[in-house]
Amino acid sequence: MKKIILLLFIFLFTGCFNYGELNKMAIVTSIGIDKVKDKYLVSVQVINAKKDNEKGSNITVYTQKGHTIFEALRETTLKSPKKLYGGHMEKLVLSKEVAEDGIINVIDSFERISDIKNEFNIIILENGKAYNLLKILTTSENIPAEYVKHTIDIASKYTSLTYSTKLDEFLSLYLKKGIDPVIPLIKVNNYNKDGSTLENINTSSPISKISTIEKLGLTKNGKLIDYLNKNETIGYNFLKKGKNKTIISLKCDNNNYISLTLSNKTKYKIKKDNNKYFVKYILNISGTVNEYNCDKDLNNKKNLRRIEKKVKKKIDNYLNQTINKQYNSNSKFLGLENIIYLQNYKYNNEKIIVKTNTNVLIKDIGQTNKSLKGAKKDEE
Amino acid sequence: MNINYVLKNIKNPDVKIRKINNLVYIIFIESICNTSVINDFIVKPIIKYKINNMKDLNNNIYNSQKIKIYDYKKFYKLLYSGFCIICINNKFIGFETKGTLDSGILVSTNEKSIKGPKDAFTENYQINIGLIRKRIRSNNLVIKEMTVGKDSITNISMIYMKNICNKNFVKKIEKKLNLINIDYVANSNYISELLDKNNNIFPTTLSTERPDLASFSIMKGKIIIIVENSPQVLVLPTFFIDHIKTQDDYYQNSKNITITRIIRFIALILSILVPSLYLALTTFNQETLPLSLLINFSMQREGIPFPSFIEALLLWLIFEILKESDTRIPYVFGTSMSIVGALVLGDASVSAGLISPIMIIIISISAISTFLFSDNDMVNSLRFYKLLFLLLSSIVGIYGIFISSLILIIKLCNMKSYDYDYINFENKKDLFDSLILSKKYKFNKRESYLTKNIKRR
Repeated sequence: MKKIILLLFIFLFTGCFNYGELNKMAIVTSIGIDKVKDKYLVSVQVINAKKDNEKGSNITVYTQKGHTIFEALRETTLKSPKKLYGGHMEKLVLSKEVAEDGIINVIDSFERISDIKNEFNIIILENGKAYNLLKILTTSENIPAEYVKHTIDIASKYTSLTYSTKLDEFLSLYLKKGIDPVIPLIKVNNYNKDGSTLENINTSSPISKISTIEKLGLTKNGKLIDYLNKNETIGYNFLKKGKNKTIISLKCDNNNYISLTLSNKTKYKIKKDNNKYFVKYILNISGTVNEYNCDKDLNNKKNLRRIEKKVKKKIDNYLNQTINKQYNSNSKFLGLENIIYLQNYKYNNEKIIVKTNTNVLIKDIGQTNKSLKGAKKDEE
Repeated sequence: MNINYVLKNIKNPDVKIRKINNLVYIIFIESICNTSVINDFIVKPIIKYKINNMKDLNNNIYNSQKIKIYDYKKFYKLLYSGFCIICINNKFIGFETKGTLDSGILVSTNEKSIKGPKDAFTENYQINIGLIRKRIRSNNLVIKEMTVGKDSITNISMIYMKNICNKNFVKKIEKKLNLINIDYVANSNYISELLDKNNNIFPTTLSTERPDLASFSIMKGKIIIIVENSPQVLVLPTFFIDHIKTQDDYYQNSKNITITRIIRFIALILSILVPSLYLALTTFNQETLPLSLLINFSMQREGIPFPSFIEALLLWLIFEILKESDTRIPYVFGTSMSIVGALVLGDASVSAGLISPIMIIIISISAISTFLFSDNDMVNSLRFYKLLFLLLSSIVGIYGIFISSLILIIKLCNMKSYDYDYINFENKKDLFDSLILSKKYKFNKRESYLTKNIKRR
C-alpha cells in the first residue's frame, strides 16, 4: 500500500506535461507584429501539414488585433481549427513602427509563456507590414520561417554582413548594464506585388522575395534608434569577441581586384590611465585568397606582404568607422562599459578610448600561385 | 509378491504377459520396449535352456542391467520405464530392454549457430547425459539422479563440476528438488518454476537445447538439470547478461563480437524505448523535436482517426498476433501468412489512412530489435516492460519514460537469481567482460561471483 501511495505521488506532483496530438495542433513558425492606431496587429504563420501530393499552400496566416500580444494570440483561436502551438517558433518579425515604438513592449509574453521557446530570431522589417511578409511563399525552403532564419544565420556566419539575434540573447543584453543589443533587418523585394499565391513559387525567379539587408538596427532602452551601415556592420562583427568570417575585396593594382576570405579571432585588453579607460582590441586575422586578377606572383613574399598591408588598412578603416559610430551614438552596441564592468573595475562614466591592433596573415593562396593573366604573360 | 496379484491388476492392452509355463512368466510393455532384444536375449535362452530357477536364469541371460524386485512399487517403476520383468516361482527380476523412442540427435532449431556445433539435446534422457559426458570427460563431473512426479516418475539429473561449483548452492538446489511435490512433469520448465518461486518477470534459469552451452555453463560453475522427455536443459543460476549473450559469441573473433554485443545492447534499449519515446516526443514534448522532423511527423499523422497511443497499441497487438501465429502455423501456410501480414496489414492500413507510416516504422524497429535475442523468456519479459514504458509515456510523456526506466533498473538491481544478484556490480572486471569479449589466451579466470575456484589454468 505504501508503494502505491508513493507511486501516486510521482504522478500527482508533476505539472510539466501537456498532452496534444500532432494532428490536432497548428505549428506556429513565425509571428509578425504591426501597429494599427493604438492596437497591435498580430499575424501568425502556421504550417499546413499536407501530404506531398496534395496541392495548396503549406502555410496559413491568421491575423488578429489586440491591445496586448497575448490577447491577440488568444483571439486567433477564433479563426483557427487547431490549437496554436508555439514550441517551434522560428522568428518574430517587427515592423519598423513597432520597433521604434519599443521592442521591449511586445516581447514580454513570449518570455512569460512557457509553451513558446525563447530561441527565435528577432527581425525588423525595413519596408511595409510584417503581415505581408509572413504571407510570402518561398522556394527552396518549404517553410518560409526556416528560409528567413537560415538566410540570416548563414549570412552572419560566413559574411559578417549581419548579426542574428535570438530572443534570449536580446533580453540578456537588454538587462545587462552598459550594453545594448543589435537587431538584423530584412526587406521584401517588390513589396507591392502579392507573394502569397502559389505562382510565387512556381517560377524560378520569384517576384516577391525576402532578403537580408547589410545593416544592423541599434537599440536604446529596447527601442530602435539608429542603424549601422554595411562597413560599420563588418566592423561590428570583427570587434565581437570570438570567431568570425568575412569576405573582402580590394584593388591589388590600378584596375584589378583581389578577393579574400578572412577569419579572425578577437581579444581585448583594458587599461586605466589618468581617469581614462583604454580598450585595446587585438585582432588576429588570417586570410585565404579566393580570386586574384593581378599579374604579380603570389609566391613572392613581398607581394603577399603588400596585400596584407592593404587588407589591414581596409579593415582598420572599417573598425574606425564602427568605433566612431560608437562614440557618436546613444546606443552602447559595442558594450564597452560592460567590458570594463566585467573586469571588476569600478566604472564611473570616465572617458573610454578604443584602440585596435590588427595583424593580418595570408595563410593560403589557393591552388595556383599566379593569376591566369600573369601566367599567360610569363609564358610569352 | 505374487504373480496372480500382478495378473489380476494389469489390464492395459500394451502390457504383454508371456506365459512360458506355470512357473515362468515374462512381463513387458510392448510400446516402450525393444521387442527384438526381448526375443533374442530373454525369450530364446529361457525356452532353449528350459530355465525354471533363478540360478539358471543368472547364468544364461546376458544383459547389462539386472535388478531384483522385492515390492510392487519398484515393480511398476521398472515395468513402466521399459524393463522386461521375469517372474520365476513368484520371484521377480528385471532386465533392461528399453526401445529408442526419439528422433535421434538433430540440429538445434531454436538457437541457431553459425560456427559452433550444431547438435541439440533430444527427448532421450540418456543421450542428453551422453552429450554432456562427451564434452566434459572429467572425473569431477557429478551426475546426481533423482525422480520427480508422483505419477509420471520422471528422471531428472543434476550435473555440475565437483571442484568448481559452490557446494552450498548444490546442497540447496538438491534439497529443493527433493521437496518438489507434483504429479506430472511435462517439460523442464516445470522444474525451473518449482525451483524459483519468486515471481520474477525476467528469467532466472536458462532453458537451452544446445549441449555446448550447457557444458560451457557447467565449466563456469553453474548447475544444469536434465529432465527426462524434455529437449530443453535447464542452466541455473543465470544472470541478466546470460540471456543477452549467445554461445556463438565465443566461437568468433573476439574484437568483432564486441561490436556485435554493443549492437545487441543498443537493440535491447531500442526494443524497449522506441515506441514509448516516439509517443512521448510527439504527444507531450514536441519542443524537443527539430522543426522539420515535427512537420514530417505531423504530415504523416494528418487524418489518422486514432490517438497515437491507441495506434501504437493496435499495431503492437497486430504484430504480436502475427508473431504468435507464425510460430504455430504449419509450414505449408507460411507464405500466405507473410502476404497477409506484410501486404494487407502493413501497406493497406497505411493507404487506407488508418495507421501512419511512421508508426509502422517505429513498431517494426522495436520488433526487429527483439529478434536478436534467442531466449524467448527474455523477449517476453522485454515485451512486458515495453508495454509499461508505452503506458506511462502515454500518460506523462518523457517523465513517464524516466519513471518506468527507474522501475526497470530498480527491479533488475533488486532481483535475485537464486542466491546471487541478477546484475552483479561487485567485480568490475566481470562487468567489463560481459560487454567486451577478451581473447581466448586471456581466459584464465572464472567469474568470481559463482565460484571460489576461479583459476582456469
